[in-house]
Amino acid sequence: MAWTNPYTYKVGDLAGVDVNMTTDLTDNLKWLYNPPGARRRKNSAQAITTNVITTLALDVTVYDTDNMAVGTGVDCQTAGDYLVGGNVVFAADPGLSGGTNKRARMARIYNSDRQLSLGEHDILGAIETSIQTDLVPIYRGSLVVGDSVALQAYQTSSGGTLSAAVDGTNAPVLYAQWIGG
Amino acid sequence: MLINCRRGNTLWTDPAALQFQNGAKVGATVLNREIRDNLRFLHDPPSALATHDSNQTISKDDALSDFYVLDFSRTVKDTGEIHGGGDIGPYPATAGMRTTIAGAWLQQAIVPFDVSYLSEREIKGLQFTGGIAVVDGFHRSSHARTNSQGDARGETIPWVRIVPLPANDIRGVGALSMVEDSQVVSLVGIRQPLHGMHWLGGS
Repeated sequence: MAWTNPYTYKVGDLAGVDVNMTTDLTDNLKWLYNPPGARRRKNSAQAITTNVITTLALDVTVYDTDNMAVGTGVDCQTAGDYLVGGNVVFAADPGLSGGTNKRARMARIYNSDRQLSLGEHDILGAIETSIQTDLVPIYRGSLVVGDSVALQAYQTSSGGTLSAAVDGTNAPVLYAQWIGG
Repeated sequence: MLINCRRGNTLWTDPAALQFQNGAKVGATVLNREIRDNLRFLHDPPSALATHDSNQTISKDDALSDFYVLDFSRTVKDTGEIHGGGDIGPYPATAGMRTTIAGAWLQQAIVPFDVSYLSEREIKGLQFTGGIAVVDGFHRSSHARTNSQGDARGETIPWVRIVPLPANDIRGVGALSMVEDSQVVSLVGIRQPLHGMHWLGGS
């Protein structure tokens, strides 16, 4: 069911004649109780090739109240204000150490429909990569019907690839929850 | 009847004030106020989002207790008197977001720091009500401590929290830069700084 702009009551209105109490009241209450939202994650490793912004192939749908789980991300089916967030854990790479142990790492919420980054968590210069890096991009703002939201990751190195860590707690996650009209 | 929030032309009215009784006639005024307007309120609750379109210089400061009050001068969204809704002088009013109703509020910020050397950067949750104060410690990106290898590093720090707040509480975002002489929160392409507040529910 969709949200219906609430009816403006008039003196003398009769339920079922002038106003549909089901669509105007009951369905709207149900809609507000369970608004659009989805959460997806990935359950297998995925290499992030150096210098390539990579869309994470999310393949497990944790919940979805509005048919938002489309492809490897989430699609907006209902326009509104959303809280969108993600989590990407770059595995530790102890093989690199000392002065060469420098990489950039970035995770972002990307609107592939509008080709627009909605929110990023990044460390753009040299960082210590011999330890795990946990990035949590967030976005809070409007989405319109047709917006396709993806979770993307990026890293640079002198060679090789990194995989986003995948286990019970560190699986890449993307969620989008409607919070207002 | 308790009316404790104005959101544009929509009020939240405590439904406990409305008592339906068998055989009673319910007037249109009551239905519009307590059904229509409350539904609209819940569908489009108090919410604001703001950004800033120019760089802000963060002077070096060695004290973790100090910070620079970030301004977010351009309103992206405001359902009514939240962004810039309070006097927080000497800081610009647009640095603050005012709660218009008590309840659980989502507060979020995204602060992109430009590339620099040898710097540690943090953001802090601020409260302006009754004088400025840090109310939410410090938050920094992973490994955002001083870069011991002396390489340039930029970073974007996202921050989100949900906290119960009273009405008319004014919140803001602070930034701290240590070690280096100056730091900017910059408009780097599409990485704009953002500050938002959104009412999630009563408490």
